[in-house]
Amino acid sequence: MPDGLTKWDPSGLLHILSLAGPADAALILHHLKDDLSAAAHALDHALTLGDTEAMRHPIHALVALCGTAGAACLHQKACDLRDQIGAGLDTEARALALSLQTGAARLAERLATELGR
Amino acid sequence: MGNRPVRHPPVLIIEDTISLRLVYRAIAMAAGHPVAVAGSAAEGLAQFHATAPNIVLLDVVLPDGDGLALMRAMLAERPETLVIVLTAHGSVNRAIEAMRAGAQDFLVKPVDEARLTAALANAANAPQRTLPAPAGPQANLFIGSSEPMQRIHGKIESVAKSMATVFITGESGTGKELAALGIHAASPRANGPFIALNCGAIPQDLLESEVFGHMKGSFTGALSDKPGAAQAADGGTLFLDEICEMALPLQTKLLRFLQTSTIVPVGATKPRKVNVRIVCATNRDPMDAVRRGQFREDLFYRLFVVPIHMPPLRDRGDDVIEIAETALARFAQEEGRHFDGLSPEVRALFRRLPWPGNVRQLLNVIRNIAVLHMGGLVTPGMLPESLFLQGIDGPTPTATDMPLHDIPTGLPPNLLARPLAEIERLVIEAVLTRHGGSVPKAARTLEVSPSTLYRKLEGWGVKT
Repeated sequence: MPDGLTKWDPSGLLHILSLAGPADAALILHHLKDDLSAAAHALDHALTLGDTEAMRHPIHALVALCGTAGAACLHQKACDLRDQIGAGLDTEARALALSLQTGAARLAERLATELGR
Repeated sequence: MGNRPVRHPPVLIIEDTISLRLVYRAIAMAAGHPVAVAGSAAEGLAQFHATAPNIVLLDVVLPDGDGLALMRAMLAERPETLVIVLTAHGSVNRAIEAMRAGAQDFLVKPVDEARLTAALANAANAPQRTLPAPAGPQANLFIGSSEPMQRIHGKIESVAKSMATVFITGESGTGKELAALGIHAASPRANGPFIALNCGAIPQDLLESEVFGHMKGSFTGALSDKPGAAQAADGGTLFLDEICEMALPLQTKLLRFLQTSTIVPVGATKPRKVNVRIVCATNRDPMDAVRRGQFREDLFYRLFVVPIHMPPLRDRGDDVIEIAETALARFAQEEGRHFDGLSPEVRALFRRLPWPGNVRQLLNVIRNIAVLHMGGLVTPGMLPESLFLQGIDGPTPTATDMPLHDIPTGLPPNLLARPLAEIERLVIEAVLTRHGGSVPKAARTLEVSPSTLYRKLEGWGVKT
């Protein structure tokens, strides 16, 4: 399954990490990974329950987190899902939510492996 | 580049997502600002008190409250604070809502380094707001140290701590919404949302949906589920302005809501529990509305638990001078002008005028002066002519109190010799003046919709 990370451009994030300095950069990466994982997990849980209200907060977080990490595709998916769930959780919205949740979890892994060195 | 010194005032960042909070902190510190951080509305308010930042970077969605309500509370304490609102939702409506609530700037997440740095620089170099320093949270909501207002401050302080419903009465423009905001800001619910709804400005057939929300498809135009004001105010305060304008069927539903704390959105089958503190207001006499059968008596007694009556400006002694001079300084700065205050003649005149539109009318007059004149001492010749259409040396009764033929209209005697468009404009402006500038009230008198009047006023270039 495509993980939505083909357009991942971490250059903006790398610049922010350089502004932060080594100690704070490590802290930012650590928490970015954790926040992405937590939001992906919360989205997965809410999706399982079919609870669109509970989906709002993790989607809101993923809009910002995926964008900050430079994952343009995932950011767009999060924006699209935020706009769609207002109308309910139909098949298309479910597929989008699942794709976003999977992509966010993959992004968290790649942040740890590729930038966390 | 000029020689103006670069300013790096202290910044408070209120953002619940840890990694984002660290990113914004890194950017602000790289730009030279001292930074404090908070991860919730409660922590944010505590840090606001502790660090007194010049700039606040504020996430709209917080785990323990609404960011815009927190912003209103902070601005009520220190109006000179510059708040930059952050949201992941890029809707124009949200931006307008934030700016109207007093935000300095509005950023959509994800925020890149360049955009955030620019927003901080703009805020750091924004003109200083010169409002008087507050003596305390309540004092800053209202300008004016008269005895009637001291009593109002005391009452707000006492009622804020309880859950009791507050019923605020007073003429148009006396600060009823400001009082409601003061009650909310001083209450244990200050970190929760403050939702204001004007029951007189919303078409009655849409008001139920505005208050209680609706489900997708429940009526034509209901394209998605929409939470109402009661749900949006969950955990906070719901302010229902012009409550006496609410139609009787909706009053019945409001009464049920007050009795059960549950709402049933239009088209829904399941009730939902909400935790809301109600503050309501009217510029009518509520008992008179009950007597006329326009307001349910049982609802009235349910709402009229703690009454607060906002005094009219003419009963507030020298507050009119204090407010006028504060507003003159503020508006002059916005227009890039300098005034030397009010002349003794203008002061004497202001003390004698009845001000049927109260503080709102006074602010309009001062704004008119600041816009149309370059500066100097404010003399009677600088005052707008419409100010002299009202009587002096006594209160002007409202149109509902007097027979029509006894009310001075301020209309020129040769009305019938004028073009129809001019007659229409003169009549509309005279009715508006009679109602203290209130468009909904003028619309009711003229039996047209408020939107018709707003369109005409906009076409004439009149700001409302």
